[in-house]
Amino acid sequence: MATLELIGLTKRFGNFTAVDNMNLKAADGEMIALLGGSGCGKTTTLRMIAGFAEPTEGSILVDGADVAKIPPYKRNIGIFFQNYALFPHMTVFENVAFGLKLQKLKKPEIAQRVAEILALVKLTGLDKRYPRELSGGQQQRVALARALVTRPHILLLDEPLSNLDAKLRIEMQVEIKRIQKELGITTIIVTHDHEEAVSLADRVIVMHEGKIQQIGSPNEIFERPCSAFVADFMGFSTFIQGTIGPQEGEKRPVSCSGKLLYVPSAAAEGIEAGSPVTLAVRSENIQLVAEEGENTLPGTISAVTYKGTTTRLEVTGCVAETVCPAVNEYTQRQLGETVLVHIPAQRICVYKNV
Amino acid sequence: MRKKQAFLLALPAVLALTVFFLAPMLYILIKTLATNGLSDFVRFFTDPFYLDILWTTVRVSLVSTLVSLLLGYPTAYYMARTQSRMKKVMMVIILFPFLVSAVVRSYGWMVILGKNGLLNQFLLGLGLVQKPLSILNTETAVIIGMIHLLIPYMILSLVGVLQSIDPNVEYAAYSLGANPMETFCKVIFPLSLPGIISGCVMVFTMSMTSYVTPKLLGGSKFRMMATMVVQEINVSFDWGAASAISYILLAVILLIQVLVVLSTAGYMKRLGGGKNA
Amino acid sequence: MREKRVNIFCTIVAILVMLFLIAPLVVIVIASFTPTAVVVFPPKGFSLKWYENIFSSSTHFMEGLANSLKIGLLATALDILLGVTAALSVCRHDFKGKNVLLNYFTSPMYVPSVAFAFVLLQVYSQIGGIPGAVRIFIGHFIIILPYIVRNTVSVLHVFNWTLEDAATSLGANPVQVFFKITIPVAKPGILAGALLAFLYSFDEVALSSLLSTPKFITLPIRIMNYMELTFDPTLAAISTFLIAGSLVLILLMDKFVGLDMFVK
Repeated sequence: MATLELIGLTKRFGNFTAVDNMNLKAADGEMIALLGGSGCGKTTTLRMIAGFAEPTEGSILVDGADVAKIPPYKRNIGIFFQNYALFPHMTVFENVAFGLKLQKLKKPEIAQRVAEILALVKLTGLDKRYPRELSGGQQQRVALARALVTRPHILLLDEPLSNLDAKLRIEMQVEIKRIQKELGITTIIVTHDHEEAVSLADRVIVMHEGKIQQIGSPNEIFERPCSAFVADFMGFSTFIQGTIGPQEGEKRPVSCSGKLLYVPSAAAEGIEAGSPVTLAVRSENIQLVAEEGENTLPGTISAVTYKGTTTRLEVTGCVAETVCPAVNEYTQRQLGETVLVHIPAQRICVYKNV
Repeated sequence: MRKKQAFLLALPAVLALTVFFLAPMLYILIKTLATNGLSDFVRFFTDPFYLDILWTTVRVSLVSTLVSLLLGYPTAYYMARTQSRMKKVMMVIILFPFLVSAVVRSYGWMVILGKNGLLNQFLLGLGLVQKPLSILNTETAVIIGMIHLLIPYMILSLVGVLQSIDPNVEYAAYSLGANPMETFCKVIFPLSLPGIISGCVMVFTMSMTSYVTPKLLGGSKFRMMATMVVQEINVSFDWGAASAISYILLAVILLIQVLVVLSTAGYMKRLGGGKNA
Repeated sequence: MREKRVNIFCTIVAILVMLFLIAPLVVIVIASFTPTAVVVFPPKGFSLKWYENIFSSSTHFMEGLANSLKIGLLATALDILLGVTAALSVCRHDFKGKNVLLNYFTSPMYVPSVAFAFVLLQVYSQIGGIPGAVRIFIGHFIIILPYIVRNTVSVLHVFNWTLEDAATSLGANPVQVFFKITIPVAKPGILAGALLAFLYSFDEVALSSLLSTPKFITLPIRIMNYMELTFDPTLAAISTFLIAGSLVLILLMDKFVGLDMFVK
């Protein structure tokens, strides 16, 4: 397939910088997720790779060659559009065969290629239907088949799962991953959903205001976000302000609204003692315990949200901020109940306040 | 590059309109003003004969618009809310005369309303009247023909808007304790205003400029602005007067359009649509 | 229950309006088959003699029909080209003054056709020697342009422009995108606009009556001229003929485009 490289890619609309000096190298067959909220520049990046938008500065290399001069219809890039963009006046077969017909392939070959790809996305037998006669999940598979059938060098997926219900979403995640690995196609996926990004991609890029915030493996991004902003975006629920102290063995104390919490020294490397810091923890890493110990705080339950497998609590009075543990005990927790919250030191991310 | 593309796409139509439409319109206006000055316009506004024609035109148009709205609204509401096959049938009935020439439709009314027409045959036969009513060649006949001609435009404009109002909005109003009358006045009516306005403007304008209906149903003594233009040209050979009437009619119509757009711009914006503005 | 009463009121009005709309047309059709010169109800017998009249050369109806068809079809064909490109220019691109441009494209709609006809008449009389067909054609192709622009714009307004990007990414060049995606998807609007434009031209009276020459007269003018001299069911026959034509058109329209296209 192909490698994709973005060098100093920048897009400005008037005074507004949508994408700011973006650098990225995608290996052959790699799946990379561009993750960020709306307006972070992820879709603009996608449009520049596809050739629908011209970069203000920088270049895009496919297999080492600059594609700036190549018009979008000659780039051989498969795109999956957010709302599928299926041609409403064509059947499933015609939609999928569209690109092949433009390549002037012979009819039997087109029929065979379409049949193969429809089998791959499990849509065999629906080729005579029109898009409006298909369910959302089926439409999505058609869009995927259409993008893949021309054997593009690179596949771009724009919010591929955002229009699907929860059950279908998980099914399609598996499906997309399977097909991508089977074809070994270099893929860029744009999404605002961190779970989608970490479950699909080999590497995740978090973007904000046109800039790359962090590049890393799904695990790194999920467990060790590089800033409080990324942590918030990755679903961290509890943020505690404090002042960090000097090293004490493997740990460093952080004084938070008069209480002491210990964090691993490794997590706070390079932060001077006395600096104001933000501590971030995921809900599922905070527990309720029976006995006091290190990093335990007493507090009162102020809200209970049952979420099926877990129950999310809001506990006030531990520190100035609300602490949100997610517990999966069977015991019913009551509002106003006094509990002891334990925040394991190893699970705390520390960020120096700017 | 994109701008250039838009320019090239617009060019043929812009050229055609400029050469064959805008230029002649402006040229003749300037020529009329240059040769006769404002005298023809002054004559129009000082001669009661002409002012009476303007008033007749406005009166017929206002009545036609009002009746079209009063009859068209319930019809459109029914069409927008019914799921039955009736809707399709009604669409055909509405579109059907809409696609049939005004000459043909006026002829139909001539057969019905004439002195020996079907209505008089019917009324005389039942003994309801002693001598035939003269409806044809009166303002009433013109208004009937006009409503028949233009009510489809009103209904189509209203159906479009009423269809786009979510029925749940109505149910929400009921659930909050509004009775049908209050729901209509406070929810449905305000939401359908864009359709009412565009429908009324359309019907009023078309009525103001209509030629066939007043000519065929109004008879030789009944005059509206458009028939007067033709009469000045073909009968009186007074091209100055014809010019003045033409441009005054145009000015009245443009004035109405501008006034409606200006007075409703804020409301349209608030509704978020603006598509009818 | 009170909700029901509102609906009954609406239903009754709707039915009355439908009867009002259909009545003159029914009367015309029945009148065309009566043997008597004055239309009476119930008709005294059945006759096709009025239909023979419309084909006889003395009425010139067939000649008028041919003229009307020529003007209508040519003007519509030209305006599809002008109107669709014009609609694309204001829908596909976002630029300052695009609303001004759209208003310019639809401006002939706001000008009374009598006024425009008179302006053309004065220009023609200055130039002189322009054949009747051309005189009428120029007027018609201008006044029907807005119908095609408006209906095409109404479709393009909700057009999903990503479809063009999708086709491009699959290897279609701009020309292929235009003919394989944009035009087919916009087709219902273009057809509806073309139909309305054609019928407007076909039925147009004010402009044609001022601009026609004795050598070139369109059908509606022929009918009106006939009406001034003779008021017999020949008029009902030609009217029925035209009504039948409209009925065919509307059924074709329903089949290929759907009637909802006309709801604005």
